Amino acid sequence: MHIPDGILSPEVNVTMAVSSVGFIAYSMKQVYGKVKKQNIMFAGALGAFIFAAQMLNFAVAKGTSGHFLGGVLAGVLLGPGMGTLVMTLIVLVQTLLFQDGGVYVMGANIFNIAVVGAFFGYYVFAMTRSLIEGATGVLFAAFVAGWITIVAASIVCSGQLAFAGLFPFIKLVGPMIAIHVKIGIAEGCITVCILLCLLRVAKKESSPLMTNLL
Amino acid sequence: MKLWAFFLLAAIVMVVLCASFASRSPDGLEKVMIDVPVEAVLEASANNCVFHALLPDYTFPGVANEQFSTSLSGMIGVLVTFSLCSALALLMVCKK
Repeated sequence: MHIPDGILSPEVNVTMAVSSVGFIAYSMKQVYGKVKKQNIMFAGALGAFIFAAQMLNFAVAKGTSGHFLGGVLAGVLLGPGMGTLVMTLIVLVQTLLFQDGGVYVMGANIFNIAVVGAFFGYYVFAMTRSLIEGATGVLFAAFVAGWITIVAASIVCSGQLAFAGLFPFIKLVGPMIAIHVKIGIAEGCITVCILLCLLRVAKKESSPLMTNLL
Repeated sequence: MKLWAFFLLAAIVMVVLCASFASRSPDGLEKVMIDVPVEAVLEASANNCVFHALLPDYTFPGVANEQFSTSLSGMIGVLVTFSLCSALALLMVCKK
């Protein structure tokens, strides 16, 4: 769901850019001086992993594909601050190196993918997680957060397109949601699978990251 | 094997396989923009080339084989992303 250039209006671009910069700045402030040395490589590897996973498009309906976003995964494993920053870097690489997503609309893309995906996703996870205890609660929350962030991002994106004046919101949001509720299920499932594997491994590795989950 | 190494390896494996398995259909947003007829807009975005990226649309220029081209550019993306995210984490490390 990377918006290309030429579609959004300058007003939307500026608003989204300012919002994204705000969240990025806040995230940087939150994590500055807080990252543990042993997690440096993991942050890099998780970023690389999510980037690679985003390249794997799968069919969700006839003539339509989707892909894993990884926002909740990043938020859960790295925390909301670092998760947002890693997702932002991924969007940057995609935009500047691969022309996947426009330059002027990068603020909007970062907002949809990093802010809604990771930052918002983390807090949805954190709130939902308290409903059920233990690992089951973690996995349930991950699925719910994964699904919600995908659908939410599609609604926000529809809003951005509508505010740009080119598409009526009503006409756009229906099809967008229809597709993304399905993509959201995939997102939830994939996130859960990855976390499930990590929870199994964590007992052996007792990585400090796992204290986020358990 | 260290956890980070496993994730990096998984990333490389995914990128090497992606060319074969990735769906070629338009993604959700692209599909909606095609269906809600907005050809004028799509045309505008196609003509609106702000800059020319090094690896446009996940292809490696000059490589004829499509799958190899995608995998190669993906590999570069994996390494660049790994470096940038690690560098960022390094910048944010606890100083005592």
